[in-house]
Amino acid sequence: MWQWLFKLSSPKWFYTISGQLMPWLAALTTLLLGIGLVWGLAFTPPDYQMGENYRIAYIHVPAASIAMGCYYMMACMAAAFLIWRIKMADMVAKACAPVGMTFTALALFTGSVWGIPTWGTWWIWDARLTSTLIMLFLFIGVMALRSAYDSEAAGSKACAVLSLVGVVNVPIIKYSVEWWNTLHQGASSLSLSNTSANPPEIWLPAFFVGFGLLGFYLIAIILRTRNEILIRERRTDWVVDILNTNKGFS
Amino acid sequence: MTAPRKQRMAIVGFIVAGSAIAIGLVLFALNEGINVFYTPTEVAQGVVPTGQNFRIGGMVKTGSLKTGELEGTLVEFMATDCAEDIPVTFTGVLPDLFREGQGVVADGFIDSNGIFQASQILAKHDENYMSAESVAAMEASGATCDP
Repeated sequence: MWQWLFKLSSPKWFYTISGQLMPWLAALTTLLLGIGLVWGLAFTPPDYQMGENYRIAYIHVPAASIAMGCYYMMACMAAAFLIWRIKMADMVAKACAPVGMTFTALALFTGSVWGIPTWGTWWIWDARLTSTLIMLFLFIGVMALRSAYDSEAAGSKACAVLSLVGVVNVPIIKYSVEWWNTLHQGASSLSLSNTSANPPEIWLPAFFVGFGLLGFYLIAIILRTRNEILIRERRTDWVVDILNTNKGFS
Repeated sequence: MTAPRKQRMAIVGFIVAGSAIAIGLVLFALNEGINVFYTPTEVAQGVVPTGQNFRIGGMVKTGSLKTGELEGTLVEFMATDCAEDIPVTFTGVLPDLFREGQGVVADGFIDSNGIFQASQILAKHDENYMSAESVAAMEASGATCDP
């Protein structure tokens, strides 16, 4: 396990392994998203009071979870980069910011679309919504900070520090609905019985969409990281070899 | 592990712990201000500053709702948290989910008669999703007051 992780911290190994993994990951993602979306959007029973519009939760909840997970991942990579100076960790952290920003924006957007008919408003400054908006700004801030530096090394270090400072926001998002009065509802406690609230027939499709979106998230991170590897390692022999063999296709 | 790595690890720990403590203290100081609404019990205890706009949150008390004939006309109901009740009046269009036994957040002020004059009504949805069949099955076992 450790040896495998250690190998992944070599750009060449990461490039090779991720290239082999990609078709499997893509197939699994398509399968999970296909099953989950068709099942969740078309075959689950409508909610007893929201009717059909609760189905937006099949996108909203996984998107928000992945956005938070992405922030943790970015912070872990930042810590690994700062402590062990692993360049791969910085490349993955760089890939995390735009992908995390997109998932956060998706969660905020779907939440607003759901909020209009359900709450009667698309926005309220409650703890859950505000802390999620702060996470969106943190992702954007990390991207802006990196591009503000001419020197790559200085930008990486500054981004790593900002990522670590912002990580405290993620548990705040998670527990905001318990610590304060919010308009946003708390986490649902899932039930195994079909005759109680939050039955499997409603949450099971959400898990399929969730793992499907997780696969999509990993694909996005891997593709961005592979691009970054090619750019940063462009002067090494193995990258020159790859670029030469692929010349015919470009 | 080498000394510089240990040192860098300590710095990373310091950054995370330091920002967590700083933000924790800010949130602790803001505590009440972060709440998006006050409960009827808090209003009854007098923690809410009088003469200014605020939000109350609770449940529309079962049997207390009086609506006008047309949509957009006067609505009266009691907002409750099972311990205290506050009378609320509102003129305007209600969210679709608004009904008795449903969570509600109202923005407004308390007038001289002790009635909450709402200028906006929002429906607070709970974290329970289920089909109509499940609800019918649950209602057979009896509903409780749980805002």
